[in-house]
This record gives sequence, C-alpha cells and structure tokens, in this order.
Amino acid sequence: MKKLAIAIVDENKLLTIRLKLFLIQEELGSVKTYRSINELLEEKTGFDLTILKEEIFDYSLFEKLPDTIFLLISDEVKNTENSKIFYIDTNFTNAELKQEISIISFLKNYEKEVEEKNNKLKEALAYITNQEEMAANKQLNMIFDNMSFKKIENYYFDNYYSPKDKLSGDSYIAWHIDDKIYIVIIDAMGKGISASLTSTLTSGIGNYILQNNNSLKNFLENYIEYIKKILLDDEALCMTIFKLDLKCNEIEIANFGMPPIYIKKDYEVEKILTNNYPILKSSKREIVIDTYKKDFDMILISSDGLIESANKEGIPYFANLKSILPKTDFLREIIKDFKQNAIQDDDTTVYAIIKQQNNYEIIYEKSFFFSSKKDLDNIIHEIDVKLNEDETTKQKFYLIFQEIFLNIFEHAYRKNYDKQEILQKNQDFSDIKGEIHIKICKNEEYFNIIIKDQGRGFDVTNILKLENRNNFKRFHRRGLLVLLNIVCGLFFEDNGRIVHTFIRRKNGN
Amino acid sequence: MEIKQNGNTIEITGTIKTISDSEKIIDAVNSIKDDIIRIKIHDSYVLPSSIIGNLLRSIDNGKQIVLGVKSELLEELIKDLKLDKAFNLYRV
Repeated sequence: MKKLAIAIVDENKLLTIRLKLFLIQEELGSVKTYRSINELLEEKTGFDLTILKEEIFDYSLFEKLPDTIFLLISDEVKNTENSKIFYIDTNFTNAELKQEISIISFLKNYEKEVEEKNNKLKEALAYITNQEEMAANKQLNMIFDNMSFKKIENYYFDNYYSPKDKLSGDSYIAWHIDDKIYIVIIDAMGKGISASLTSTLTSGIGNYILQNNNSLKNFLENYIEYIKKILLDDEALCMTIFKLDLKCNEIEIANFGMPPIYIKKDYEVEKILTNNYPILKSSKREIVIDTYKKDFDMILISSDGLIESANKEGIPYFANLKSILPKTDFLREIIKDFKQNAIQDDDTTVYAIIKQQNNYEIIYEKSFFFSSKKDLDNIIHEIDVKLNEDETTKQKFYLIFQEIFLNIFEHAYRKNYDKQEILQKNQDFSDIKGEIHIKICKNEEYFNIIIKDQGRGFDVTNILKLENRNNFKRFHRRGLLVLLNIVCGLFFEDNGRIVHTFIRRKNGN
Repeated sequence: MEIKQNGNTIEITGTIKTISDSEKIIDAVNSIKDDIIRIKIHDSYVLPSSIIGNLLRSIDNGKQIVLGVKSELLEELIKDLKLDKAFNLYRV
C-alpha cells in the first residue's frame, strides 16, 4: 500500500511532536508540519491527509485543498457521511490513531486506483473517438459523387447524407459519366464499424467497376460477386442501383431490399418497389433489372433512414413523405420537414433528381459590369426596386445576392482573396473588372435566380460533402451553408460560373 | 439598415441588404475593445456568412459574443448552423 503524504497543522508543538513521532515510527507516511492553515496553503503542496484541530477547520478548505482528507481532532467525535472528513477524539490513543489512518490510507489508495483506471479509460475513449473521427472523414472521402449540387443538362441533382453516429452503415455513389447517371445507395446491415466498413468498401469497389462497365448488368454481376466475398455468414446488404440515360430518358433499376423509389410527376407520386432480395453471402438468385421510360418532375431514392425514422408519436416519416412529396419540387424542402418532424434513428441517405421545369417565366434579366463593392451594392438596389415581394422573400434575395457576389469577388477574379479582406474599408479593387449576368424567373410556387459570372470557376465536386457535419467553424464555404438554409435548391453549372438558386414564393403552396 | 452602438452593445434595425451593410456591422464589431460583444438584431431574418465569419473570428481572438435576435427564422438559421451556443443566442 502506498504511504500517505501527511500534513499536520497545529500551534501546539507538543501535539505535533507526538503525532509526527508516532506516524514516522509506524511508517504510516511522510509528514510535514505547519503552524497555521495559511502556512499550509502558501506551500501549495498536495497532501493525502491533513490532521488539524476541529476549531481551525472550515469548509472552504475543501475547495482550497481538493485532494486531501481531513482528520479533525475534536472533543466530540461525530458521525459524518462526508468521506473527506474523519474525526478522532482529542484524547486519542495511538491505537485509535493508527486505525483511523489505516482506513484513510485504504480509502486514498482506492481513490488513486479508481482515478488511474478512469484516466486510462478516458485515454482509451479519446483514442477511439479520434479513430472514429478519422475513419468517418475517410468514409466521406471515399464517397464518389460528381453530381450533387450540380445542374447537368436539364436536371438538377441534390443529396442528403446524414450518418446517425460518426460512422455510417450507409454509403453512396453518384456518378455522371458519358451521358449516363449512376446512383448507388448502399445500406449495410447493422451499425458501427463493421457496417461502415462493408458499405464503404462496396461503394469504393462499386465505383471502380462502374467506371469500367457501361452495361448495368455487367456492372452488377461483377459488383455482387465482390460483395458476396466480403460479407460474413450472417450479414446482409441492401442497395439500390439506379441508372438514367440522359440521351433517351431510359431508367434502369435494380433494388435489393431497399425502400421504394418515388417518382413524382404533376403532383402524383408513383412508387417503384424493390425487385431483388437483399444480398447475402449465399445469394444465388438471378439479378433483376427493370427498365422504364418515364417522364418525371422528381425522382427520390433513399435508404430506410428517411422513411422509417419516426415522429414523437411513433409514426414513421413515410406518412409525412406521402403528403409532402406531391407538393414540392425540391429535396431541401423534404429534408427540412424531415428534420422538423422526425427523430432520425438510422443512417439516412437520400438522392434526388429534379427535372428542369419549363413553366418559369423570366421577370428580370440584365448584365452588369462591376469593379467595386459599390457596383455590386447598386445591382442589389436596382433589383430591389423591381421586386414586389414581401419582406421575408426580399431578405432571401438580398442574402443570395450578397453571398454569391462575395463568392465571385473571392474566387472568380483574384487568387487567395479573403472574404474578410474584401469587407475591409479602402480596399483597392481596380484590378477587378467583372461581369455578372442575372436572370430571375418565377412559376406559381418558386423563384429561380440564376447568377452567371465570367470568372475562373471552381471545382464544384465534393464542395458540400461535409454539410451535415458539425464543422461549420472549419468550413471554408460558410456562404454556401448559409444559403442552403434558406433556399429550396442550390445548383452549379459550368464549373461553378453559373449558380441556380430556388426559393419558394410566399403565395406559393 | 441602421446601427446604434452604445459601449459594447450594437443594435441593428432594418434589413441587412447590401455588402456595405455587412461591412458596417463588421466595422462596428471590430471597434469594440471589451471582451464581451453584445449584438441585437431587430428586423433581419437572415445573417450573411461574412458577418458570421467575423463573429467566429472574434471568438477565436478571445471575445465573447452575445447575440439577441427578434426573428424566429433567424434564430432557426443560427441553430441549424449549430452556432447558438458559440454566439450565446437568445430571443429579443
């Protein structure tokens, strides 16, 4: 047993000498003596045990000396439940003192053991948390998505990927190659490291095979053979493979035990149900691929996290989805409703393909040249005069213009230009001579604001992959995240030089 | 938009419409030497990212931000960005 570090506080030298001699003789610990509490506090040494008369003790000492146990010499030995205070009679015998110190020594040693174990546990937890964070980041890096937040031909592509915990059992591929769109959503059985490993590995290899196979059947045969090899005996994998040929609007679907694919057209929603069983190690069934030629306004592909997460009454979000889907053209509106009404209890991945609508009329269109912030402000003032909308809608317009204009300043015309620097007074922007083209369209429900610049553009791929992570502070594209909170849709075209934003009109449904 | 500054408190009324409006708010925030910066936003439903970035930078520089907002929409925006605790957000 480890010996105690003991402090004795007493003005009476006789008591001090008696105590010190006894403690040293009995080898009960190392001893230091003090004439007063202040003298002890000044030294700031950590003691396991402090022996003092009750009359000089006060409860503020708990805070000042948090690691010590107090043995109070008192005329009246009291019972206390406070494990930091022990009493001994003023006329104590050596045997009584030895007994009290043995108990305190046992307690202190036990306390130290627990503390050491706690520290080791904390270290282990910190290690696991750090590893999980790194693995989650790697998992995000391994998601192959060159379509999200983009407008490609007449389609807008939007996604929502939200792991329940750090690591996700969901993964996805969203790949645009040779006029074809491939969307693969994978949901590995279970949660945690094993499920995330399965889903991430399969999305990684899936992407590799995908890029080397134009036929969905060839892709699937190769892909599923690989998946079967890595599955454990009692594991299952659900996934949806969706292909859209942009040239002929042909859709091919192989759905292995995933939720239905929702196809919305003119306020009507059709469900395309799963056409294959989940994939098992022992699966030997023929793969079914169904082909459709369908006109649509929006196609929604999701993992079960979206439809099975329940609201406070326990009703799955599926019920909400049925009612909201016919009323919206955009995934963001569904996700906003999902966040408000459902308690996410599983990894959730949703992908939306939104077809450009032809019922928008142009209400404003103009090109502007600018070489200063004032020029940009003047554009906002000019458009503001023409907007006959309520205050909330107008403020959304202002925010869209501010965020996109500053992004154009920041990225389009100068390198390494910091947004905070742009906002500093007396900055010289004489080297910037830019052009912005603005088009505002509306239909019955939405405004579509299209802003085009002539700058360098930027790589849109993956820019918003981390939107659902709690890393806003480190995120460099805060403007886009702020915009995503107020718009129904945000899409880039022509390497980011064209930005399409959609906001709902107040008088829309 | 109008900014009133009284000691370490900035009150913003009207709409944050232009880049110059954001610039004025940032200048006002940066001019406060106190450790605590109190901001009250009365009418705006939105908060541009340049202002949010500046407030985060102030926090990094050891300042404490206390942000009062009147609009429920703005409160929701700040909460969605998970900045309510960082900005000590409250409803005016």
